[in-house]
Amino acid sequence: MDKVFSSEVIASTDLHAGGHLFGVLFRKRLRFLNDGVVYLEKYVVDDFNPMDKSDVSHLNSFKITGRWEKSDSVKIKCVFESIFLEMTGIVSPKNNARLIFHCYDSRLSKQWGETYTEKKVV
Amino acid sequence: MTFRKFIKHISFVLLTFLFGAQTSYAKTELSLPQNKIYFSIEQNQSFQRLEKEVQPNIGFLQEKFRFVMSEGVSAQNNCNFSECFVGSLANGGGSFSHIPTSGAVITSSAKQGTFLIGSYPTDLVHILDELNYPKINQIDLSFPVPQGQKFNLLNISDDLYQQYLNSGGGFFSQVNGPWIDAAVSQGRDIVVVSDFQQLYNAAGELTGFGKEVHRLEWIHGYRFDSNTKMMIPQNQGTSLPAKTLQSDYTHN
Repeated sequence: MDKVFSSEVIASTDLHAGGHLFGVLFRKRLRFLNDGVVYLEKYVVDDFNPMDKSDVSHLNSFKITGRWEKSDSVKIKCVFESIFLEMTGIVSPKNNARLIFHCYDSRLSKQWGETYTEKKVV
Repeated sequence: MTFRKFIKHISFVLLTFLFGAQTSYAKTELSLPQNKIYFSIEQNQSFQRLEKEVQPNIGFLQEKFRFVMSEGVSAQNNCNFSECFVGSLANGGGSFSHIPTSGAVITSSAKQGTFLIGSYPTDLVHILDELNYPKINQIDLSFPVPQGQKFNLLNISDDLYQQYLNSGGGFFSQVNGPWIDAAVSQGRDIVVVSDFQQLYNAAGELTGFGKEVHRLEWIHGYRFDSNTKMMIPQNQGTSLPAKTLQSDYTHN
């Protein structure tokens, strides 16, 4: 489908080294290609206090290649094997520009929800 | 009759002695941790009875106390209870009242200079508080253990934090990373006090604790030993699995 979807702003934070706040704000981006390839990327939107300078470059260079498929009329599945991540989503019934995913990290045995909104390329 | 009375009298005395001795012995216990002496008192034991029951052991206790003091185990005989308790923890003489979420058991057998790594909100906030651990105001790359402390923890001051707040990063590569490197180069024990759920934050990124473990694993070749809750050189841990992915972080 060759579309790009972007997440809400995500705060990556920690209290460390005696309780001091470190972190950056970033977004995730899903880039769907017609051939079943999907890229998961991250990009920093506010480096308010990264723990390290490399945090920003690390996030900005993050690009994982996965596979996507539409398993039925509404369901989308993205699999990123190298990071043990599976995302199962649907198009929001109330906003067809929004994808709602349930994410599962099999390595960490964690699951959570994420939303992505279509980013219009101008 | 006289003989019977004599036997009765002897039996009474013997029974009284035996029951009396048994009661005193069973309910008064002398415990000697490294720098404290205390009695343990059974829940149902009244204080009125305690006073009497302690009497036979007072001489023994006084002798034992003199012995303990002369051995120098309790050098701070002028401090109050809380001072003694904190001092005991700082020197590894006791154990933390906070139970580390990793399950690590930190006792008096911990080596001087042992590094403690973990997550601040879940564990280190409590441990730093219990140890009354001082703030680091300036960086000495050998990261010595503060005077009066047994453990090495990274506890930086607000002023030092401010230096990195407006610098666009650099805290990990200039302070935290070298702190981990010092633990390795000095051959210190490195105890993990937090559960590995704390390696990543809710955004899926490595926390500070996570970056420390990542550095130990992917730069120094250490692995986690679940028996001791310590990070150990890989050649000692054979084929223990890594807890982080190499792609999680890019070290400077």
